[in-house]
Amino acid sequence: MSRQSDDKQNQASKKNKKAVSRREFVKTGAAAGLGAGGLLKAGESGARGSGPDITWDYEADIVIAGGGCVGLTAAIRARDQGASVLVVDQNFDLGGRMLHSGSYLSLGGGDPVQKRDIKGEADPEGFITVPPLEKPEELDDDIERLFTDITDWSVLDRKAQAPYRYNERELVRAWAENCPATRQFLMDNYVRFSRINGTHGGGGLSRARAAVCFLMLGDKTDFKAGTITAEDAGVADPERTSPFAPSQMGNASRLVGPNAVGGGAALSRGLEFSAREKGVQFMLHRCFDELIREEPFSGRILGIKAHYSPRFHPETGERLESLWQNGNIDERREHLNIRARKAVILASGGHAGNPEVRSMFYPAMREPAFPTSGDALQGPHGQDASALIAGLRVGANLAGMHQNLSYSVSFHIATRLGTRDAYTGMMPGHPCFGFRGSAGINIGTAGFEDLIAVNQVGKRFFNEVRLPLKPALSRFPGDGSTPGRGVDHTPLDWRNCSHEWVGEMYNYDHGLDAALAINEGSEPPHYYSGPIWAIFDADAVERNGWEMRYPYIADNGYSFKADTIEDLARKIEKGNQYQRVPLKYLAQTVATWNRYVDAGADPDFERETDAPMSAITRPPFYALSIMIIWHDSYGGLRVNGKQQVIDMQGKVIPGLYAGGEAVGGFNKHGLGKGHVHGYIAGTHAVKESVVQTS
Amino acid sequence: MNRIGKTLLFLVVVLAVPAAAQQPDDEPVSSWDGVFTEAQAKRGQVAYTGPCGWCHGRRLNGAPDDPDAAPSPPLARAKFLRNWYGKSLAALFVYTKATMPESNPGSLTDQEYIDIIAYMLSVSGMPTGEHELPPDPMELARTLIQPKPVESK
Repeated sequence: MSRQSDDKQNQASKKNKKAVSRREFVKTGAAAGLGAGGLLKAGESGARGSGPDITWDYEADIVIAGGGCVGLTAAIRARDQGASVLVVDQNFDLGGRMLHSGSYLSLGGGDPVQKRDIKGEADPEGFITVPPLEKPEELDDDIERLFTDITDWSVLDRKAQAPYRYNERELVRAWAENCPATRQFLMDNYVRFSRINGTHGGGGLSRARAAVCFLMLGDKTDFKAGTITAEDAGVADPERTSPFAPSQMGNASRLVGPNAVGGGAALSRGLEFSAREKGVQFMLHRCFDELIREEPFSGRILGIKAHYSPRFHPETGERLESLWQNGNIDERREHLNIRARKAVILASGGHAGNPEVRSMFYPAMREPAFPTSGDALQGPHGQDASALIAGLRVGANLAGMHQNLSYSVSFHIATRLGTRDAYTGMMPGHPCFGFRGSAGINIGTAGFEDLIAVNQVGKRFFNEVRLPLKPALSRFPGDGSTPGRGVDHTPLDWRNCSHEWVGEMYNYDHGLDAALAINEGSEPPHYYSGPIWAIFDADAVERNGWEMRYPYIADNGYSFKADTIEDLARKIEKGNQYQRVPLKYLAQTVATWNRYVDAGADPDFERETDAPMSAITRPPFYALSIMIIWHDSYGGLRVNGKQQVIDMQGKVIPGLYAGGEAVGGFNKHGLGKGHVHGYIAGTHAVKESVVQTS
Repeated sequence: MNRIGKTLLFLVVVLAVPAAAQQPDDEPVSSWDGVFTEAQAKRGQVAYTGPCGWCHGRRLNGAPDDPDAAPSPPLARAKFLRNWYGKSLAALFVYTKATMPESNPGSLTDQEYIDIIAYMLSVSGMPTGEHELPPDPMELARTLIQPKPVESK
């Protein structure tokens, strides 16, 4: 962010409240409980827990673990109602994966943006100059319809799995009822929504519900004015991103008008700006570990334990610091006990980054070679199942643990090759790029026509052309509705899942499953499948225009180049940490492939039926990593319609709330789930009575 | 006949009639024969970014730059060309105008549509020439998308 706008942000915050540092915590905060910070360094007041013998280091009315889409929303909502709020986050900056997302927000239920587009109105600031992209009938939505959509037992995706059938009804009902209010809440906190365009991943089929978040290119980055510089947006140079937006923002002119850019930073930074302005306080580099309850499995939740989790720049060794500083508490002690006077809200994400946890859904995904999305941005504690693990330790129940398998693209093969962190457009310029090392080359599904894919022993395992194909999202029969397009269909109808319809629409190819299969290099007890590699030659590079240079590829263990296939195999084995065995069949595989190309037929995988085949003969030869990405996760803590966590006896755990990917029983992809959960949790958490201290 | 009617008529004719059946004075021209200019392709690159780039990606290979966006068909290089072999630029122009951008078909000017097509051909490796592609399906009907000539390798 530019210096000027940064200063403005700081000045605005100072007007609102005096910035709080470790040395400046006010002792009056405890008595008031609602002051500007209202936050207390508890050690100075002598506060102690009412149950276990705990010495508290800090306290606040509401303590939130995680500063992403759930946490920031809950924090602002609670702060708006007068509570003191402390957010701890394991990373050096706020936003979680929301920050590098596409900012697609499917809400609906007759939300303010749907109504705006029905009327053909612009936004209040007049930035939107394009007409509505959806017909009024596609936007005519209500809460009953939305609730029906997200609990519709009859809908199947094209993997023949039911996304909504197993959703917790009370949870979805509350979500649907709060969608319109959440949309307005976000708009009241510097989030600007484009025209609605379809529905993003799992937002139901009946109506168009997804808008993206935008800012307008301008001379300075200023959330009050709604502008962002080209440098901050990452559009000034196609090979740079900024600390402001770790993923380059997209040209949103078709959704807004000329000079609009969209993406997660327009959403995440807007909420962060508002939260800091309103006096929410943040303790970064602080990883949530455990919940503190009065008794191990009974009584109220009193607070959390969290440890110092600093992230250092991989090249300079300096500690990474957040883009904005106001509201930050610089606390570096190793372990802290943080008291929540009213409630703890778990907003620390899901379990897609924890191979041990995700292996309960798909044992082959215990393979650590394959990360979750946002690996570089979030670091080793990203999506580490911290909420799920901590909840289990205090007796929480789980919900929807099978639902990872009923969102069709939760895990998939990325088309961006040559980088471990294959689910982002991050370029040099963001401080986390060093963790990534290379941006990778997004070859698209079409690019898979020009390579062969091999497993850890160098053998082909599937038709490469079909390898990266994702199963499409849910479909109704009749008008063949895609999400948000087509209103001539019948929810809750048996025909939606008749075997005739399923046979017609089914399009899953199972390439991912073949990639994860046991092979000759798999060894007990885990039988890891190992990395997979794209192998191609100089002709393929020339035909496709792939940029075989930094920042797209680098010497980081995910791309290799050699003059012979044998040498290429040796380099892979030596250079990649997850390549545990030699690629002993690679040369033979390439030779066999070239014979197949000459013959015009691939008897192993019948690739000739999908696309022409090209020989791999002209050096240099290349190997780029192909990543299986476990993106978002489903299944987690059971919560009710107030986002209160429920125990194994079906009772509320007093003082504990959770949302987003930390909870289960709600298969709906993306930010639309998390923001509403945060809004609900923030609404109710402040109503809790203050826990008395001994 | 108004402009829309003329366009639709051509869509039907161009898509239904094989190239070989065209009139002798409409001797086909290959898209590899320098049928657009460098300046036109550059204009197309600028026009492409907003309405097309979000879904089709900056490499025109159907890979959105945002990984959370759904993949889309490639608009350049081998797979794209294979899908359009033997068809005319008129068909491509009319199809593009009638269907894209998906959220708001026909929302660009004719000149923007044909400039974007010039950009697609340019990224596909086709050479530039001295004359621009005209935004007129009548004139574009003679120009066929064909495999890359062997001699131009």
